[in-house]
Order: sequence, then C-alpha cells, then structure tokens
Amino acid sequence: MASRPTVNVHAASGEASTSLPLPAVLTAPIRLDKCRAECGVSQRALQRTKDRRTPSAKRPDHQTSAESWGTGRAVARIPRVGGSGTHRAGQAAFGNMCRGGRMFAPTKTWRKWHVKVNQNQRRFAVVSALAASALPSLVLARGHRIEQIEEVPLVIANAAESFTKTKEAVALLKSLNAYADVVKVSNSRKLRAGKGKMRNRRHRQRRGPLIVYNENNGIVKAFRNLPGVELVNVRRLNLLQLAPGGHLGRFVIWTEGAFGLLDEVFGTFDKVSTHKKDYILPTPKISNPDVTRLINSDEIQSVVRPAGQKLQKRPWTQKKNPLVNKAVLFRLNPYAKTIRRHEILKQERLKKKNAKKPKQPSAAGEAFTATLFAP
Amino acid sequence: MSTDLQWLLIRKNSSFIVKRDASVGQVFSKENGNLRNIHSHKFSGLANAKTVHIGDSGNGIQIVSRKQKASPHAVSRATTKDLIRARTGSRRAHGIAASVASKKAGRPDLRTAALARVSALLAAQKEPKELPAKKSRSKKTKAAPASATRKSKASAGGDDDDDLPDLV
Repeated sequence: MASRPTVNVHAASGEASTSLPLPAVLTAPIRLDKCRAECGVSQRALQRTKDRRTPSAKRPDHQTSAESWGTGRAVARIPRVGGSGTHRAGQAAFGNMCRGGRMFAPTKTWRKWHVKVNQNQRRFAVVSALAASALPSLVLARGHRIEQIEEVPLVIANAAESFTKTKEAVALLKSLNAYADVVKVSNSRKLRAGKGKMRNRRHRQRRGPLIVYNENNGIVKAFRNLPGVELVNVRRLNLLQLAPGGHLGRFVIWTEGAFGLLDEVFGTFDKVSTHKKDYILPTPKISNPDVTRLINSDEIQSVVRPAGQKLQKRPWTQKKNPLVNKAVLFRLNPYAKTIRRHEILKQERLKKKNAKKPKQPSAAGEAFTATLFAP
Repeated sequence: MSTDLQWLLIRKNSSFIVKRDASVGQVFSKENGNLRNIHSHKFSGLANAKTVHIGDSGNGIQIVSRKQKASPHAVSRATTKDLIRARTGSRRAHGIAASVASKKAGRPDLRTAALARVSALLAAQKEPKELPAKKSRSKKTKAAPASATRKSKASAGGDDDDDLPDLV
C-alpha cells in the first residue's frame, strides 16, 4: 500500500467527477468467523423480537370452568363447558385443537430473547462486513449483479440525497449500471412456502443494493420502493444489512457524504473514532496475507534449502506387491536376494543329506539260491 | 486484500458453486473467468488478480481478460475484450486464445484450459452435419417385394410349413 487508493465519485449521469481516498474501514481485516457468530446471534435476536407474542394473562384460555365429562358419554374426554342455555355449553375448551383454546406448548414469558455479544465483537463483525463489501469478488460471490458497474465501492454524488422521486433513483441506478441488481430481485420474488405466508412474510426475494446516506433529504423515499433496495444512515450501519445470512459482500452504494464520514464513524488504524467511544479499527493478524508473495519473498527464499530434484511419480504403471513380485522386492531390499539364494542352497544341501539312499540289492540267501538253482 | 484470503472466503460459500451430483466427486463453479468451471483457487474467476474469460458472444468467441495493472476495486473498467469472429478458422482462434491467456492476461498456466475451452466452443458453434437418410429396416417397407417372391416359390411347389399362412 504505497499510496492510498482513491475511489471515484459518480455524478447523477454516471460519470466520475471527483475522487475520495479509501476509508480505513474498507481495508480492515475480514474475519468470517466473527461475522458468522455475530450475525447468527443478532439474526436470531431480531427474528425472535419480531416473532415474540405479547404474553397477556397467565392462562388466557381459562375463561371458562370447563371440566371433562369423563368416559361413558360417547364423547372425547376433553374438558367441556358446563351448564345449558348457551351454545357454549357442552363445547370443548382449553385444548390446542379447541376454539378459544390455548396454543400447544405456549411460548413462555420467561424465554431469553436476547443473547449478549460483546460490543467490540459486534463492531469487529460490522467492520469486517464493510471491508468485504469493498471487494468485487466477494460482492459477486454473494450473488449481486455488479459485472457492469465501474468499481466497488460505488460512491455517488451528494445530490442523490435530495432525490425525492423513484424515477430519479431508477435513472441514477441505470446510469451506474447497477439496476441489474434490482431487476434480479424483482425477478426472484416468490411466494413463500409454508405458514410464513400468513405471518406477514408472504414473499421471499433476494437482497438488492444497500444505499448508505449521510443525510436524508428525500433519498429514503426515492429509493425505498425499489425491490430489494435498503437504505441506512452511515452512523447506524447494521450487520444484518451488511452481511445478510452471514454471507459477506453486500453490494453497497455510498453517497459522497456517507463515504467521507466513514473515517469518523469507525476511526482508522491509528485514529480513534469520534462516534464510538475509544474505538480503533482492529489490526490484522498478519500485515501481508498474500501467501504466494510471502513464499516468493527474498527473506524466505534466501533461507530455505534449494529445491531438490523433482520426484517423478509414475501413475501409469501398476503398483507391484513386493511380497509377490521378486524384482520389486530385490529393488527395495537387495539383501533379500542373498537370503533367497542361501535359502535355496540350504534346501539343496538338506535335500542331498536327507535323500533316501537307494536300496543296495543284497545277495540272495543261501537257502533261496539253493532252491532256485536246484537241479 | 490478498487473493489467498479471498479464496478462503469464497471456497465454502459462493453463489456460483455447483455441487449437484455428489457422485462426481468434483465441485464446479460457474462464474465468468473460470475456464474449466472447476471450483478451485487456480481456476477461480473471482479469487485471482489475473483472469481470462472465454465465452460465446453470439457471433464468435469473446475473450475477456482482466487488465494486469487495474486497481483491485475496479470491476468493468478492469476488463478488456477480444473478439474472435465466427469466420475465423480454428487454428487462428486457438492461437489468439493461447496468446491472450498467456501473454495479455499473464496466465501461462491457463493456456491449455483456454485452448480446451475454445475448442469446445468452436465445436458447439459448428452447424451440425445433416445425417444421411435412415435406411428403414421395418418389414412393411420390405414386405411388397419379399412376399411376392415367396408366393411364387410356394406356388412352384414348396410345401414348407412356413409358407402355409401365405397360402391361406
């Protein structure tokens, strides 16, 4: 990092007019683990806060003095409302399957909705997510359609903050070649599977660009009706918007004012933030994470031993079993040849020694010969 | 940010990953600039400072390479395009692809992959040859002359069982 890189500011027509230095946050270390952990926790907390049912009475269903009729009445043993004279009499009560009954396993009022995450860790996650949003490859990998835009991070002139019409917003996104991402969202809109449909989560869709502004002079109203587009003030950047689902690399469009404020909001590597008390950006564990560059550096290459001869593996030959194949065995263990030879010689010697001597024909007995040659 | 770190961030999760068939034993990736569509650091079109994309342009082959001195933040500005027109012969097309990959884009290691991709594209763009008309082996087409001869044979005096139905 010899000179500090700069980022162009795009006018409403899409042309680059001026440029700003890259804020230090966007070069902060990217730690996926921190983002994942924090994102998981805050996602859960947020969903639970949304889902939470306000507990009213301790047992909201106990409006009646229903009791079971017991067996023998040819009806289910569920508690039934007593009395007569109203329709309610004799109807089942309390159960999760009953009208006016409680739900099954009601959510408990003492459930812990929030999980605390240390503030520094939360900030680390946000900073990481911001740094990831400044790398085109990560933004592409998240699925944003940014192939046609000029550069990432994308900064637009402050005039956009006082846009009040969506028409202007669309024209701006088109001139930046960023409208493709909105189209992607629009095409992705699907009906949600399951009961979420009736719980105010009717449709699912992708996420589009996140627009970060410094001052809302109408920009929120101008952009908010575009599908997938979200807006946020620089001072209130949120991990759930920067890394939805724990996936780094949200496509962020900054207004000039917001971009210029980043160094103040998050501080730099050696300057404390003015918005967060005593906050300094996390320092990377290694200053140069480029492994190839490290390996090929003079410092390392001067120390390591020279490369040996290349070992040519021969994948095309069949592997031979040295226990079966003599030639391979002798190549591996030349002494095996001597052992074998000795063994053979020994066997031969033994064979010679133990060989059965052929029966020497002995002379026939006297009596036998006498009878044989008897006249 | 180093490409090694970027690869680590992309390796497990990216919108381009294709893990459809586990039996293949290979993870694919369909981003632009991935010449073999294999999900690896070497072939990745995202986690490399120098990339070449070879694709169909509707009228020939388009080679999009990343400028070597471009800023890491630049997206569309960082690319240059070379077009191999449809009437270009295959030898010349291969030559252009090889030189763009190894010289212009600075990735001599991707030379073979680039050549393979160009060949595949050329083969795909070729108009398929018309197949010769199929010779029919069905009995119906052969039936007319064959049955006539058989009948004449049968009438000549062949008393084979096979010919009986014909006679009836």
